[in-house]
Amino acid sequence: MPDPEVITLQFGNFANYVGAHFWNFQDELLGLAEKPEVSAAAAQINPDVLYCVGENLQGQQTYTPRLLLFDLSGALGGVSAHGAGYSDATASAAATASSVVSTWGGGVAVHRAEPVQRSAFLEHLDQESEEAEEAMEDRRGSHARAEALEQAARSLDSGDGVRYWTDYLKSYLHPRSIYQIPGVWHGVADYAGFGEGGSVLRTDEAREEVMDRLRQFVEGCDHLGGFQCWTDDMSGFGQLTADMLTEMRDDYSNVPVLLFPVRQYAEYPANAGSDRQTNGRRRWQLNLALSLALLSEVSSVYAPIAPPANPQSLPHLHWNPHSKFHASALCASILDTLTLPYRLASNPPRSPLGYPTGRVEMGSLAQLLAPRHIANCAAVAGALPCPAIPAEHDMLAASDRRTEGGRDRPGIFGRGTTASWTPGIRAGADGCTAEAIVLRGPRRAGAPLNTEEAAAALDAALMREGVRCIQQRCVVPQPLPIPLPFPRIFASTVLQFGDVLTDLQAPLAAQGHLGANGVGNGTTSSGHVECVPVLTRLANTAAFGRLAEEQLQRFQSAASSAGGRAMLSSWGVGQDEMLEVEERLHALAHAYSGEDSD
Amino acid sequence: MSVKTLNAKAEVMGKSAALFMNINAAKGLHDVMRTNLGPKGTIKMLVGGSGDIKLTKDGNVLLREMQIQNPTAVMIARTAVAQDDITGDGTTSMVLFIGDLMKQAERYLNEGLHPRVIVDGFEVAKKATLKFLEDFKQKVDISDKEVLRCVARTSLRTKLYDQLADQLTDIVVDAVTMIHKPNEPIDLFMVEMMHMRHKLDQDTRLIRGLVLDHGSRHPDMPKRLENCHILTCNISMEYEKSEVNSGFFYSSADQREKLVAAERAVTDERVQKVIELKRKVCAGTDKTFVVINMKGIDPLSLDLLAKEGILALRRAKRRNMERLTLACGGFAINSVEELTPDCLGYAGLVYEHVLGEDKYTFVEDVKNPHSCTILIKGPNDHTLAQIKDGVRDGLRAVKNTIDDGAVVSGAGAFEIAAAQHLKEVTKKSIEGRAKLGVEAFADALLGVPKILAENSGFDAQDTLIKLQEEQERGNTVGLDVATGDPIDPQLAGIYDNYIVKKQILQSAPVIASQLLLVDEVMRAGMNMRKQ
Repeated sequence: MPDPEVITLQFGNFANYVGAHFWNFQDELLGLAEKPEVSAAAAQINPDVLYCVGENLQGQQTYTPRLLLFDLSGALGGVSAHGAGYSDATASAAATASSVVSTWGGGVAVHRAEPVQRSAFLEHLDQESEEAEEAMEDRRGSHARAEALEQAARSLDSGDGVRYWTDYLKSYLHPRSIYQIPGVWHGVADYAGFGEGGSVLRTDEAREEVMDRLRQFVEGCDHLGGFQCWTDDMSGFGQLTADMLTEMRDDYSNVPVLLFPVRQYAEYPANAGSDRQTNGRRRWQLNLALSLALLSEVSSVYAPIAPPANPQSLPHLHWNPHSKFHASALCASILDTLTLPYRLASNPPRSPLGYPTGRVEMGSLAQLLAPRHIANCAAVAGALPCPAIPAEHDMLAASDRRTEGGRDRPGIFGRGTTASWTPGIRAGADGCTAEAIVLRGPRRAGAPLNTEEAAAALDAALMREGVRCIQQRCVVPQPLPIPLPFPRIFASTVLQFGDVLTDLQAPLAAQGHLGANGVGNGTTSSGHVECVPVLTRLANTAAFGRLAEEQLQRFQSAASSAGGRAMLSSWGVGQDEMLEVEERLHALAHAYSGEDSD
Repeated sequence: MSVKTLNAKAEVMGKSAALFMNINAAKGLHDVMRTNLGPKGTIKMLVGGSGDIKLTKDGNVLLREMQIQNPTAVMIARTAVAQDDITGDGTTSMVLFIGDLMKQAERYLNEGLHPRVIVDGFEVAKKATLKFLEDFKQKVDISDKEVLRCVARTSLRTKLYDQLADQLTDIVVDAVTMIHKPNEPIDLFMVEMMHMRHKLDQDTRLIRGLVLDHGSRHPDMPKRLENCHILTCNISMEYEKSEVNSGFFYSSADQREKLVAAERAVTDERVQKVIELKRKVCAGTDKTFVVINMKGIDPLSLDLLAKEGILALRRAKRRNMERLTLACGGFAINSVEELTPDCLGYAGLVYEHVLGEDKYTFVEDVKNPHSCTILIKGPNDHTLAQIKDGVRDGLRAVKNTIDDGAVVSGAGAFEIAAAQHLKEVTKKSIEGRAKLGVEAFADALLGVPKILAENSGFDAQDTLIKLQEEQERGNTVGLDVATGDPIDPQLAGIYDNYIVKKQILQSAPVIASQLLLVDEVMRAGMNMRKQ
């Protein structure tokens, strides 16, 4: 039986930023699968789970994600919503009015918006693919162009290099994938309140259109494995997500839904003026509570992801927290790894590093993490990049040092290696009842480690942690491939293949001594990282009980102020709905605390 | 300025500035929308930042495309959009009427009249006009297709060129009459709209039956069947893991395989039940069998069905379950236990049409259908979208007529008659300065015929005088957009919807009054300021 297909839903601008990185990773994997020397490891991840084959108007075959994304009108920048590869020659902007208007006999008034420039990266990308079709004439020319493309990719990372998520998206999308909310414009509306998206699916017509697009992807699946969704829940897309998932529950009742709210900031970004801030903070608080209450109810697993607020918990990364481009790249790296278990091929080819272990269908994963529907929140922790897997004796030594304490509990492979990526939950929080762990592209001493050894080391490390809960582990040889348009966020301690220098090694690297040591194949990272190992942990933990309780209190206090009530009522959340939210939060808190007493 | 005291950062706009802002916003929208109105208006071609094209003559679409930020304009736009939600038409007219009311009010305000006085006049005029509408509307026999055609044509001709509009008129009227069952509300969702990017717009046609936007997923399934039993169902024919066996808790591979086999058998059994029914009803006849399922059908199940010569479609729309039974008869079933020959519907012809990656399945030649499909064809997306908008409005116009059992003479006839009534009857019946408000209201009503004349290339004043003279002779007159002369809308077959007029008359003055009575505009809250 072929692997069950998964459909992706992206709600909101930041989710689409994350999605663009996510699809770039997939695109990179597709590229790797064509290179003979590395193809086996990449081919162990089955792209057919996420992609489907189609045909464009010219009769050419297409391979596009099974994806439905939502954004505001105009959020695509200079990229046509009709999807490249599906565009139609007569619809170009250069066409004259009379040739375009075939349905009206009278006058035509043309209103042209200021054209939005596509990013230099996209332009170069298009040039390159055109030339690839014409077959490469001379090598030097193509080399120069590759250089130019790289240059353009690097320019994305400068000041305002990325204005829209389409600026760096390499993958082609199907025209049916893009739903822009009519009448609400990107850059005009701020759309920052959870409830503002409640009007989108209000009419039967809008609801049918959206559900129909989704249905067409579902119809193409032989065995639908589930839906993976990322949502920009600190915005109007939160309510839209809730409405959409509610609709989906009616039509696809037994299909699992993994919901990952993705956020640029783990905490309220305090930078606006004091007056605005009160409102902004209140809105943030209401958003958080509504997200936890409403979205966890309509998903199988609810797992919020945001880059850690404390940059020290990711010592090998330097990123600008105010850049959507950066923050989304971090979230996408974690997401791509988290989702590996159900994207693995059921009959993978053997790679030099062995077979991946721990393939599991989405339904089973959901069942593992949320056996009871009420307590279905999961916390995300991760190591990006994952440090070298220590050999057995080193690990024992490290375990002594772990008692040192600190804000987070020490990571599984040494201190600071698994930071919490879920806002409000501390890494390694107690009360874990079930956990799914993914380790990809493990390395030891500057070389890739085969899956058996890595799995054994991981098992041993988990055992030593001494957490008694159901654990599902997945070890995949393929590291996270870093695409060209990925921001340069790796610190100089990260080498070309993702080896991480420890505190002791770092100064040496700076002096260029490390090459002789043989670590990292003799190459220090001159900013160029090809791939990195990543470790993620998705855990159902009782810490959500406390979080729910906290949210409940804050929701009550925010909602009791006049401003809060006005905000809620403008979102259509009246007294009854408020009570429901409170009830749900209370039930969540209770569900987890009940487990505590066991 | 108590707000100032409470919130030092609040911005406050005084009374005259606030009024000025409101009037300007209304006039601004009026200016954008006025060229839209009527069968001679201009179509708007909107080219987005990425070069994507949108064509529209629909006020509703246009409002959505304008990135409106001014709070007054947002308020007017919301009212107009609500109008579209309720009646399916009249968005442009609503915006224009509000604009004209504000313009007329401005004249008197400049002369020093208090807004309150104007608003009182508006209120009186509104009531009188609504009452006048009750007398003016013409009751119609809804079984008279000609009246329905007139209404549909009037609506379509404001959105599409004449020839296409006329062709669609019959399609739209036939579609609504087909789904209309006496004494039951009309559900326009029973008219499916399917679009195909293909050929020319004139190829748009009405299918007496249903078109589904998917086809079979098995190479050996028949592509064309005649004389078909149709089974409409909501039964999973897909291997599903039972909830208890989540995949973690097998003690051995052998046990796992046994579980999988047992679960597979459940699915196979369901498929077998369908096949049994097919054999029972088709054996020895030339009948064929089609399964249309809302749930999934996996490849193994498709294989079993294909071997029996059954055409099976999976993941049909929820709405199509209802449409299918209305078109073909029978009823939708939710479990194999309900399978009986009675639940089957019938279609004379079922065939698949492939267009690139899109597949369509036509279910045609059905007896006495109560659901149908309008198949819209066009060479590109923006043409399709525009025809779809037009058809949608046409359908709503026919439905409204049937619901109302009445129509209103179009081409500006109602506005001219109502304005005259206000000036000659209503104004005389009241005392004091509220008369001025009534006067303003009447002048605002005349905005519609004026703009119609302008858009058709005639002088607004001359035309209006001609029409009013004719009106004074006691005739109902509208504007002939081709000649600029008065015509009798009834003879020309130009009818508007009663409910559309009524809705505009009810909402527009309310909004206009609110905008006129604004004392201060304060910006202190979270929503008003763009961040």
